[in-house]
Amino acid sequence: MSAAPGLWTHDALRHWLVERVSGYLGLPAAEIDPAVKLRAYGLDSVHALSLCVDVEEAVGLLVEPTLAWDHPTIDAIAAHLAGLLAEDETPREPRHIAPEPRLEEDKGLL
Amino acid sequence: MTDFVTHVRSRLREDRELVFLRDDGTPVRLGFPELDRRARATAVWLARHGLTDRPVLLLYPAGLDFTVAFLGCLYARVPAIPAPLPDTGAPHANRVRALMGDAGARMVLTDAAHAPGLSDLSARVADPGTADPDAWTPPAMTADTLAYLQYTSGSTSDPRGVEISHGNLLHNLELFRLLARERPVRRLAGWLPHYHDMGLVGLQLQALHAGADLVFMSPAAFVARPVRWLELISRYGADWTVSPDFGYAWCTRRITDEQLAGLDLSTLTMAISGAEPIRAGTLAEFERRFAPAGFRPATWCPGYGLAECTLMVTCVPQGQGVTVREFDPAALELHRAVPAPGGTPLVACGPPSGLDLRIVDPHGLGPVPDGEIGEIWVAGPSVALGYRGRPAETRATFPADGSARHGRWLRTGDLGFLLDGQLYVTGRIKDVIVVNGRNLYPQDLEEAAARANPGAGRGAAFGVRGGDGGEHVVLVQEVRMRQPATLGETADRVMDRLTREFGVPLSLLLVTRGTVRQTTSGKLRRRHMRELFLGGGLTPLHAELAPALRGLPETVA
Repeated sequence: MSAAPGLWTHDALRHWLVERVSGYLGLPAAEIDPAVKLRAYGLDSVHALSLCVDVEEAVGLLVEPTLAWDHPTIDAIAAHLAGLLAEDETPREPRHIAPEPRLEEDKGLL
Repeated sequence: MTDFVTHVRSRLREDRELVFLRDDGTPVRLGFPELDRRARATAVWLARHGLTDRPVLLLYPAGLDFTVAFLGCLYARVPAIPAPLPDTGAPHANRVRALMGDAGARMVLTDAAHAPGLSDLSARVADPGTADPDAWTPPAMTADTLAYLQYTSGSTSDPRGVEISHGNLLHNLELFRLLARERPVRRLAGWLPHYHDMGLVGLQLQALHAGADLVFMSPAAFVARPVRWLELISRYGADWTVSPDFGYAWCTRRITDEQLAGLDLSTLTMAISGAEPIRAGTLAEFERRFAPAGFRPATWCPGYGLAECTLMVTCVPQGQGVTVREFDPAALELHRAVPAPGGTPLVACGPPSGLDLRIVDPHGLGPVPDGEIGEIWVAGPSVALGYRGRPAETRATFPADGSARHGRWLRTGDLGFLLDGQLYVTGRIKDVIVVNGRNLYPQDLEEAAARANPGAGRGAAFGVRGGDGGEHVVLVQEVRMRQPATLGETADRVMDRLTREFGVPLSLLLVTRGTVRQTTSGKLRRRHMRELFLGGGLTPLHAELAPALRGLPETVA
């Protein structure tokens, strides 16, 4: 996969994953070592599911809900996602996660 | 009125409805009259299949089909067993079979989408389309008639079904009604699973009992995007919500400033927190974060309850707000509540009301004075009939006693004390571990560890309150090997297995054989191991501690 600016490189993925995981756990990003198993930081099933949703939204990849257990470190997840992106030819821009989509207007009840 | 069905049918208002928000954000709605019609058709179908008084397992995804099936069972005098849809894989299917065996259930009901995946359980789709709702006649029911079975107690291999009667349900929901005081609930919002006692009674059945709207979503949708819960409250102007502590904490942590800007929580009059220890920090942080969205601190209603008392034991009534008092941590360890500024903060869970409550010395069986810690005992009409098909365990947990209202007490297995008329919960003497509102049984964790590491010795799992105020799983596992390299690999294998299977982080201590104590009758002494762990009395060969537990046990810190 090319390392053109603006594309999801392995490093960009790793950086983004550290930032997400630090948010779930309420830990400073600097304390998260990408080579250490995430369970050592207290990652639980709630965090693991959130990670799948965030990967889907930001990276545009559908991943298994067992992602964080099958690939237990940030390095391993980044490598797995980079592999999936390399198989997929559509170039993708990293994007800031947009605010959640608003609920459909539903005033009938009120 | 002595049964839930008669009560609900007497208040089927045309303008009340259930709204389920699908994961894609589309609402699906069902008005009360149509819900009643479908429940009657389901009841006719169930009776036609000869299921009256025979337990039926309900394996449904979150949504309106569950509500119809559950109400249909109540209408037909069929004891329903709400349970989670099993994931694929043998351990999950075995859990369902163990549950059916224990309850004596012969039939599984599910929706059309899940029936093919559950074909090995011969799951059926109730087909009320073929049944005439007007052919339904209410079966004879009294307050003592079994309404449903709640399976939140007991391990996977040894599940225990709590028998809830119509009288239990009506009494506990009446307690909820009284909490609201002069502002009865109009619209409930939530995401709790319907197989959880708080989701079933606190959301679904409370809405039907109170004649209130219910707007709800799936637990998975909440976990993935917690803002959706608060948007549900904002959009529909809900006045009540319920959640375990972790739900409020997850919102505070995950909701962005942009999302916050679109929220309006000013319609909430009651936000109930229960089903797991309530952290004062969670309430304070949520309040601070969501004050700009109109959330008022007086909205909090911390409560305490358990399935063996239908749901609620005590809860702070509407508008009274949170009482947090600080206690000397060393005295708490010695079962005494000594107020101490700057000490361990505990959240008051409301006054006893409508139920008799006493605090009993766990050793001597006598009541203790206010301010002293003991086991919480409850008596009154909300106390369940017992455990399905388990007379010995029923007698042990629901001891007969002439001093109790209705002649028996419920021993909750939880520890707490009364102070200035309010209940404070401090811990528990039963073995269950509660993480994110979910009950985990030590036997299940110990068995999974044995599978990951065959040939190892005994293991003992227990819960410990961490530096963050949350509950954490600790496993003390005996091993044969003493080579450090092998120990590291063993620890890794056990931890990988348990975190994947249970979805919770784990602290693991590998110890020499003979460390995990048993009683002379072979029962594991988990509480003793827990005390050894906390007191620094264990010398592990290898230890891996979760961040929140570091520094807690003296020897391994």
